[in-house]
Amino acid sequence: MNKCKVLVVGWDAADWKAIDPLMDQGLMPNLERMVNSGVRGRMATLDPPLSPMLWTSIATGKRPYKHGILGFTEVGPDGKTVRPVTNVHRKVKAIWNILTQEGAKTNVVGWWPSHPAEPINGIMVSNFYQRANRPMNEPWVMRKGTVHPESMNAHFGALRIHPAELTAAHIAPFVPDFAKVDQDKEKSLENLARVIADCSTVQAAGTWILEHEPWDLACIYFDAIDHFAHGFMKYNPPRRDHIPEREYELYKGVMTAAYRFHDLMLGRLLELAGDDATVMLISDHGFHPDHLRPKSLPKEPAGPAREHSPFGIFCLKGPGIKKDALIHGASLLDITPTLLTLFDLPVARDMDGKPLLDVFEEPHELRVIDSWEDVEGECGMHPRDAGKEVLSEMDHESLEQLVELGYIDDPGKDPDKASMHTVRENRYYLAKAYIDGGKAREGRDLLRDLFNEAPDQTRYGTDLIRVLLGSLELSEARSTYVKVLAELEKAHEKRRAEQLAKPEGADIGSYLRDASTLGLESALFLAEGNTARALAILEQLEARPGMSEVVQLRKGNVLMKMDQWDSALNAFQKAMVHDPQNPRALHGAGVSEMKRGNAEAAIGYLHDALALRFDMPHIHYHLGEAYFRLQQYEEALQAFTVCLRMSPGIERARRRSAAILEILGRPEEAAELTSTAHVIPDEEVITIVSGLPRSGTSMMMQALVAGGAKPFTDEKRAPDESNPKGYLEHSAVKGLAKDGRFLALAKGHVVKVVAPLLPMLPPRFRYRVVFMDRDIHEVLGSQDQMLGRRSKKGPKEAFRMGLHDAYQKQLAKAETWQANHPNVEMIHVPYACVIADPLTEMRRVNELLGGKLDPDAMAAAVDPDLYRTRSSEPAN
Amino acid sequence: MDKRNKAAKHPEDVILHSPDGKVFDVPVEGSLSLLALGYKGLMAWRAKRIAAAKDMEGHFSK
Repeated sequence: MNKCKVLVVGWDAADWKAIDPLMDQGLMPNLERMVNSGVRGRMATLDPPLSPMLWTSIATGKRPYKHGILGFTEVGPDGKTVRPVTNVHRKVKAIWNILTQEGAKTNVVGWWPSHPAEPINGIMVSNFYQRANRPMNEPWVMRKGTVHPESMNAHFGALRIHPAELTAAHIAPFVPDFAKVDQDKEKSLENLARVIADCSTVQAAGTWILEHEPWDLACIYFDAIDHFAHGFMKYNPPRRDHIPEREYELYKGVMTAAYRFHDLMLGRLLELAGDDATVMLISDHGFHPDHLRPKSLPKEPAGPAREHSPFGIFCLKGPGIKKDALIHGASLLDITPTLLTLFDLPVARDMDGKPLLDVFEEPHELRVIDSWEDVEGECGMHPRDAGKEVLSEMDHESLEQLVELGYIDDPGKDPDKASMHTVRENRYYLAKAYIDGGKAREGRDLLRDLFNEAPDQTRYGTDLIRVLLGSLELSEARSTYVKVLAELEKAHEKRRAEQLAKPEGADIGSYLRDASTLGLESALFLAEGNTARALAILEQLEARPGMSEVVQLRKGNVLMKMDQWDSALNAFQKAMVHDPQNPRALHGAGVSEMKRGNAEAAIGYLHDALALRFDMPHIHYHLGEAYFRLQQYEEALQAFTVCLRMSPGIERARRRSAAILEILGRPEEAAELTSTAHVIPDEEVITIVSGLPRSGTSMMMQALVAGGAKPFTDEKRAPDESNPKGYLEHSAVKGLAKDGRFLALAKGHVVKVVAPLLPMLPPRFRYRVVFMDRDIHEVLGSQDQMLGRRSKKGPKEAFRMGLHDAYQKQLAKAETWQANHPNVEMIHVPYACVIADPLTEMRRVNELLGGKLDPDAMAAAVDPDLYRTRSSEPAN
Repeated sequence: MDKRNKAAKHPEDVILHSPDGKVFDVPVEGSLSLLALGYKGLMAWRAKRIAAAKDMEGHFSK
């Protein structure tokens, strides 16, 4: 382990969009010095952008479904008490546990969530430390578990600042005209004082530790910017029409004062850390300071998170770190891998982030292990059943702040109801985390359950529709939309009746679909291939006051589908006027420009998009395409290489790279690139069973499933006389020609795709194809029998001779497709051989599929009695 | 950083110095700068308040 000192300072919700104008005015000199002597960049957040989940991801390098922290609250060990989220459900090691194992000294203050304090090698002061839960004239008891080691309880207790201790001198920099606030009626100054006292308490503990205790890593977390912003960002200049002038004049300086105060605190921390320390300043998400501030918030738990922007801040300075440099594409998942790299410790493969190697002046050698979870030794984590006693004493005040911030609904007095809501809400956040992490299927299943359980929570339904659209499960998306509409109408009619029941209540009229519902309907039509309807809805929406900017991104996407590149570009450009930092708008504009033949303009847009979201492989791919068109082959090769590194399944990028290497006179590298098929884990590969209709594909599906393969099927096609054991098909496959995105859900599964549809398979996935060969006369005969069985007119009228040639052409096409696609491995399995010697054939199939299936079970599933149409027999 | 204050355990033991080495006169009403200084600013401010309260007590007891 490298001996170094690293200080991590967390500023919840800090945003460069708010900071940069202040630095330009010289109002944040300490941060400005740090930026000038180090690297800075935006840091992409995760969805949902809820701080306890995010800060745990920052500290572990893992997504919420791995680390287990799923919301603001949790249910206590009695199964009824709702309490603020703690760390006892965290399932994985945080950076301070890893460093404890390595013998390093780590001190942590205020991290959310960090209660009860973990017994690490160092001091931990939990996030329940700073909150004053009693009036100043009453004893302010430290909760058990607030400090590790416990012997320092009294010491840190004395460093706490009660809000009532503050004076006008502390409030005036935030609200110069504070005397005009009627404190009997308005709680704003009280809230302000509480936030100032809380963060000053954290600063007091942090500075004491830095000055008096040894440390290798120190993590000090401030939640104040987020709390200031939820209360007062709406008053930040410029004033918007809906903000009353009086309140604006009173509170317009709060956010500037908040950032300046944090800069002062940072200055002190930098001074105490010393020049030899590496200092990292980060935020988990941003907070819109500008025209993107929402005018109103949805009345739902975590509704205020809509005020968050998707990019936090990242700043790093210290020995060996680049000076005055920018980095792109950082994610909060990268923080722990980067910290491990700073300490020269290995990064774990089970972490979802990557080390930010671009920050270093010299190239860094990266070490990797499978997981830190398997590393033995005392790491200072709580045992699995920890904290029951400690946590049962949590009082109601701890929840109050979350209620006041709007992050949770008041749990109320009915414990059963409160705990049920908490569990459900956390499942909802888990579903969103799954979707954000690319686990759409898990997210979809959870959302489906949630919407069934609580259909009045239409956000479950609308999120379900979005994920269903992504997987092209269109009929369910449509039926869910109908249910959502019915629920919205029901809720509206209830409100209407309540209004009318009031003495002077006016009729609020019938239900009208709001912008978000109409946007969803447009997306539904787009997915169904009805681009005209999709566009018409957006144009109708565009005409509504204030909606023009909001719909442009959607409109651009529809117009791209319609190949209307000029109009699409126009829409994306309008979307960028609204939000210049929207990576999807920039990406769309880049693709539109390329399609219009302006590759140079496309490159500009695509670079801007990557500066915001470096982690999106398709942007790299399109950048490569744009460079390729300009014959700038080195740049194109670089872009395709990055694309393939992120997403090895994008075979277009591989083919383009190989072609470029040929052009550049590097044929050996081209051959290597083409021949060395990327080794992809089985769960990333889609197994396809294909062949002509009635060539034994259902039989092979049944055999594979019997052998242990997972079928991708919606079971809509029931077994019948022609296929008494079932078809094992998925209806989405029929729509392959239009859109194959649903196949993302088929990874690790076996899917039946008839031969004519094979060339429609999207090239970005890896396929192993089991192709059933059957004598074409038998195929036709079997089809004839099948159709004949269905036809009331009998078999003779169902048979069509022209199919023979057509099928032969289709078989040839499938062969060509396989030959041209290095992402495809194929095995031909003669139907007759399967019937004659099933075990030998199934062993062969199992070999192609990685050898993990059970060939005996597969062979046993073959029923020779179903071989009813043989070529030696008359076809009909 | 004033090393003389490192061992201070009581608010009244903390003395703040300005960059030119002069003793800093802590305002009794406190300030954000003192809070930003961390535990040391807090202790110095509390010491000032204690001293001011004693003065006040003495004034009224006369």
